[in-house]
Amino acid sequence: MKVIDREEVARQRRHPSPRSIESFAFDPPENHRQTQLSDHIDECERCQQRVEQLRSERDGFLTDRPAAPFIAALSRGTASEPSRRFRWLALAAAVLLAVGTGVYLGIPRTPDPSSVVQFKGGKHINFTIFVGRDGAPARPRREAEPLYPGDVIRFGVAGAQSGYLYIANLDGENRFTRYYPADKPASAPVLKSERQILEGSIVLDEYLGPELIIIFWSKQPLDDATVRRAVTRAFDRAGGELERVEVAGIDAVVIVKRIRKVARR
Amino acid sequence: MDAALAKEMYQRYGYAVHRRCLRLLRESAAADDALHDVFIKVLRYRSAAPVEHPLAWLYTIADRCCFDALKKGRRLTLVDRTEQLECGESNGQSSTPAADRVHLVAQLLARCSDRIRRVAVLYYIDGMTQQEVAEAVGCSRKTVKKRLAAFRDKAAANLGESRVEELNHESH
Repeated sequence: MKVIDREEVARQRRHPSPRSIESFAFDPPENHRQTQLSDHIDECERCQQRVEQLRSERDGFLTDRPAAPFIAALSRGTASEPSRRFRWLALAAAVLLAVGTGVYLGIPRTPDPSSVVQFKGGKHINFTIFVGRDGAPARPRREAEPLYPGDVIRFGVAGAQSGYLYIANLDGENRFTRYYPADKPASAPVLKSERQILEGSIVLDEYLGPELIIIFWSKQPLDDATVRRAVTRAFDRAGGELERVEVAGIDAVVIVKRIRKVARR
Repeated sequence: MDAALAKEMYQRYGYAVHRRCLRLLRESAAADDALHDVFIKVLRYRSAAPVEHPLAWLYTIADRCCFDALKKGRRLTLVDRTEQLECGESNGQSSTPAADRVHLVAQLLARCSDRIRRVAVLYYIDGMTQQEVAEAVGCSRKTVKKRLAAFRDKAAANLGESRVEELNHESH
């Protein structure tokens, strides 16, 4: 433990991290106006030299490997693959009112443990995803159960504490869709109750593959932009790989449910 | 992402990505492959929203490509590499203590879980402080320290306790 603490102290006393220097060297100049980093570099000859060296190396790299042929070759390669654009046209998460559907929904006796959350010092809240298929009564989705295009999903909440709820969907191409609430760009209040089924249902589109359903449970309302920003950051941090998405930096308890849509046999 | 934007990104950050891949993999051909894989993913990225931190985003993709390559055993194994370090060999590549250290860390990282890796990359490869790592990852500094300790345990198990301190040497 002593070793790492000594190292940490040394890091805090020295020049900006190599990553910060790289960022300064390569990012557009407007990203670094009037920052602590730019102030340091303005006054530090060693860091200035490092920045210049990196930029010079980049110039040499681009001379040897110019952008145009590199990207053109990649584009030809990706163009030969089937376009996925049209699979998403149908998504839009069509929200249908549940009234009149005649669908029966029940809270499961054994909730999926990963769907149970609580505020610090608060009481447990249980979330459930319900699946309706081929006109059959909706039932709680089983953990890891695949879903089919055309399935209708709804959400249930049970708990002894009130809060605000926002449910989002994120697909593998970073397309964000708000599932709940459907009618306003902010989280909606949910009162404490033994069980309740949230208004609205989602008809799943034809796209196949992994997606995330991300549930935000907060003490204060969250606006659409805040949630979208947190999700986009998480997606970027995960390098665009859904299985690695972890949403952080938002004042809410977050549950990430991973679903997979497969073709009907 | 359309080709024009990808081209712009390559002009600005292509060298940085290649340099990172070369640091992790230490072989020019492997770094070329990784650069190619990274920009294939960039072209497939179809979000309308602009990437907020392009360099961090590209590095995340590059890291994934490199660690996958290391995990698949296309590169030298940790044991082989460690032996080479001890013998002072360089496998035909330019070898410096800093380059050896980064490659050693990369091979260890390839064997770690994502949670540990995300933190350890920023600390050991990018040279951030624990506080900077915490802010970048979106967790507490305490969590960062815990994950770094787990990484050092992993390193000690693979390298021996006496060599863990090597990982801390500056690579700037």
